[in-house]
Amino acid sequence: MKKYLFVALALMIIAQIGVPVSMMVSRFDTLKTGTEYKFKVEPVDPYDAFRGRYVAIRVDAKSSIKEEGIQYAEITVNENGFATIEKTSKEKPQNVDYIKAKMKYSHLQLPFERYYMEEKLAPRAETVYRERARKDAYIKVKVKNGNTVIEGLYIDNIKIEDYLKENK
Amino acid sequence: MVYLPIWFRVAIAFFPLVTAQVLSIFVLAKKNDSLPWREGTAIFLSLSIFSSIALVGQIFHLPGDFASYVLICGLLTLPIIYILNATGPVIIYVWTILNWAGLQNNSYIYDFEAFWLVGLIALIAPFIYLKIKIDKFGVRGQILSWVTATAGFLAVLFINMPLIRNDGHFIATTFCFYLSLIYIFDIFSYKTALSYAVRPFKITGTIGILVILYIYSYSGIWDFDFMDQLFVNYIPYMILPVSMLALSAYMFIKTTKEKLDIVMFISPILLAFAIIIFSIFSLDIGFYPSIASIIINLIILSIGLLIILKGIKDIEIGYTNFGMLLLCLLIVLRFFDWEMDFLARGIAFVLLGIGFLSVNLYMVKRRKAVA
Repeated sequence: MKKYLFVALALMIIAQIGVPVSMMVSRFDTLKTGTEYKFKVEPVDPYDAFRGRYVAIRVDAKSSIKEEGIQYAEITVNENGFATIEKTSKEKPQNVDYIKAKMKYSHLQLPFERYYMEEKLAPRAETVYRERARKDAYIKVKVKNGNTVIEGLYIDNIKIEDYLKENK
Repeated sequence: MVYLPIWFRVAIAFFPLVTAQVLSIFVLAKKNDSLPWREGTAIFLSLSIFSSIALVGQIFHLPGDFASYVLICGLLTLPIIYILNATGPVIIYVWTILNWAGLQNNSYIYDFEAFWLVGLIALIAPFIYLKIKIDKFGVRGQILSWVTATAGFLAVLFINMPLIRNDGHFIATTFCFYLSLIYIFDIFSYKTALSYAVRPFKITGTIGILVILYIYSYSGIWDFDFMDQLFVNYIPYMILPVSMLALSAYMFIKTTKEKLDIVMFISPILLAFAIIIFSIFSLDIGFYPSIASIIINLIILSIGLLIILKGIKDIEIGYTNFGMLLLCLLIVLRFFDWEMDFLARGIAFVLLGIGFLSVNLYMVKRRKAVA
């Protein structure tokens, strides 16, 4: 009996380690082989009692379907080189990069709503973000097969961590 | 500002998880007979799964919604329960699956994602069932009983949640069947208990039944009409109530019951059918709502009287007072509905007080006589 328990324990340990490791592998794969897009960001309501270790970010995205649930958002790039979401579908689009998004409460939620930062920097970063959103703030996102990874949050073409260092 | 290198941050993220896993190997090998070791390690390991996945997500700016996160963590917690034979992570697992189910609910009646909750419950059900069967009055059995009885309300709510958005009354019918089920389950399994304090299904069932009966004792609440969808749309949501009713009927047949138990068990079922009939035949007009509320008031009255009689028979003042309290509450609530002048209200209150006092005096005398 105990032998079977040890086998089960080994399998459990593999699964428990495997999940975060697979998250990392998928992240590195998307970063290495995914396509890079720049999304302009929008200001976010600053009131959130639980905030503190991240900057809440928002990207404007238009949905073609009002129905709630999973949707696939097609990425198009505008004349300024920024990516936009103008169309969504219930099926995975062919021959075009897409993002798996969720329609909830009549709002299309893209999978990048938080940019985690060092705790001491986050409040300052958020102030800068609010001031610069819609102007010269954007996020760089790598996309592969619907998966996304935020490469960085940029202010005036400088990564926010470096921007804060330069503008103390 | 000094940034920690990424490999160091990853190491920090994995440290609690790996430590807890090493500890669980040690516990299984050397301390498997120690309940505190098993429980402590199991909870540590469960929580470290949540922290490791969350930290990896934060370090690498990985997207992901909270619902998927809690579900994955919950599923990774599940084997710990069985391998380390631990009760603590059951609470964590139950919390995660309910949280996931709650977050799954979108605003459309055709959304059946929450039905997966049944499967997730089935994964933990054997453990809970065996633990309760072996030692229902022990600490672990009691914890699991309370968790099951209370989490059941949320499970029922989340599975049939889309009905709420159509009209809240239909979800009330599901609750009615659940309340009858847990009430009869208590009689089926916990009847040998020496105290009511160790009968979580009885306590939650009784409170739930009384609350729902009091709510429907108002005539105004019967003024509804919820069948605005095609009948076929409701069929998936009938699976749960029908299954609960069938199970309750089986346990009802298999148990010996007192009059009070029969009334308590049947009342919510009657209420559920009344709500359904009212809806199908649109009986929210004329004197039908008043008739329904009068019947519910009479049921509460009979429950109160049966509790008082049981208290007198068993010479239990607490029980008698509980019955009196139910009657008083019913009378007080009706004061707000019905137009009565102040004198009549005053007299009624005095009579209630006299009633309370006389019954208590009688009980004290009886108890002395028996002693």
